Amino acid sequence: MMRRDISSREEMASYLAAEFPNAARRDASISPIRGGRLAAEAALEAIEPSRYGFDRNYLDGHVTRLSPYIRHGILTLKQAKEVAFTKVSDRFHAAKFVTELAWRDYWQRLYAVLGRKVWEDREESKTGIPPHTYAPAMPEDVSAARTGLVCIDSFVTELKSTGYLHNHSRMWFAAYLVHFRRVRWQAGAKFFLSHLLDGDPASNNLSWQWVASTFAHKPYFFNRENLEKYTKGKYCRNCPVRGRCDFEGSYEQLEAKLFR
Amino acid sequence: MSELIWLHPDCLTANNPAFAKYPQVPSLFVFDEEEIAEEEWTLKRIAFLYETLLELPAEIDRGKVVEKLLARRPSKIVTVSSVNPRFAQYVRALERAVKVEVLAAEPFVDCPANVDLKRFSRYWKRVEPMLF
Ligand SMILES: Cc1cc2nc3c(=O)[nH]c(=O)nc-3n(C[C@H](O)[C@H](O)[C@H](O)COP(=O)(O)OP(=O)(O)OC[C@H]3O[C@@H](n4cnc5c(N)ncnc54)[C@H](O)[C@@H]3O)c2cc1C
Repeated sequence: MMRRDISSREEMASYLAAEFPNAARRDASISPIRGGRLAAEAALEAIEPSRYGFDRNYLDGHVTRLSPYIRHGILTLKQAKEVAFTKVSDRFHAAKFVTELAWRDYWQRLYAVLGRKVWEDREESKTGIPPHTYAPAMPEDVSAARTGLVCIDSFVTELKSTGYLHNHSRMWFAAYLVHFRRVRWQAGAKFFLSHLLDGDPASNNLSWQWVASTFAHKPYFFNRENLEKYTKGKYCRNCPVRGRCDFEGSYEQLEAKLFR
Repeated sequence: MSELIWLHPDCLTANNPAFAKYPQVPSLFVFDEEEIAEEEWTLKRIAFLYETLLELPAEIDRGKVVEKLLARRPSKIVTVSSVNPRFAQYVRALERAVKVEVLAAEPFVDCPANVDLKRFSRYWKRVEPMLF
């Protein structure tokens, strides 16, 4: 049996590190995001679904950060939907939020059908790049947050210290790894599952496949202008390679560079 | 010998239907060392779950899930369903030794299990009218 008489988060961190030495060896930090129903209910009470509908793609938009609670059934999707409806004058104003909740339901239903096959390509990739050219492992500079790209390194640092990333950051990071670095999506998916508090083989792997185009009609990628817009320049402003980074150029130029 | 509620990482709500149906029955959560090793969890997720469990009336253990549950010699195990493939695997193993009652988790939307899942758009067309 494990102890329940823990009086502080510091004590919890050292107790758990001793109980789970292998997990602690991978990364012994504890997220500032708290577990538990009380924390979950506070986060649920704070949601603003109508503002969410307008600005959810911006890093400083009104995303809810409910995912670790929903992932572990501390809150249910239905409960989140019902609370969202109490926060708006017209249910239509919560439509975007409810659609995103439905994405989770969709991935879970697929998981029930696919099981461990979520680790395999659902379809052939649409990138035109031969599958064997994708590297099987996570590059060391990426996992160590030393690529020199301020955005990417910041995503890795945030993921490792908090266990959370905004949806758009997850998309950019996944596109960077798979398309700009030509790494197999499975390596990125494993890295995310290891660190995300909401880590879920269905939502995670199938989203990686959506970016990679093994579960979509075309690959997802982005250019610097897009990243700069939705981050309001917070990374580009201080980036030493600004103006000459991998993401510079129009979508047409990048498409020609990345795919065949 | 008595009943035992099995809590797993997909059903940590305080409104768990197993608590509602069996209010007096003890519950056990086992940190699944196989899953932690396979998915290479870091301490963050373990701490998040542990903190959640401290707010629930559950005993906490770690190791092999099926062994730990059966070691309590329950007359019956009650739990909530999950789509995680490990869940089905563990239920099958438990059922060789003991009766298992799997309660349904609260559905997001009451739509038939055979809804077309080829793309999100097909699923959405079907469920959208049921959600608003
Ligand atoms: C590469 C990649 C990996 C991902 N891995 C995971 C994962 O392991 N676990 C996970 O829960 N989500 C994953 N997502 C989906 C999404 O990024 C997160 O659910 C979301 O960012 C969580 O933040 P939030 O709670 O603030 O979301 P909000 O935007 O506030 O959304 C509310 C809730 O809706 C659900 N949701 C929202 N968007 C999505 C989505 N696109 N897919 C599925 N559910 C969604 C989540 O439960 C979320 O908590 C991944 C996305 C990508 C692109």
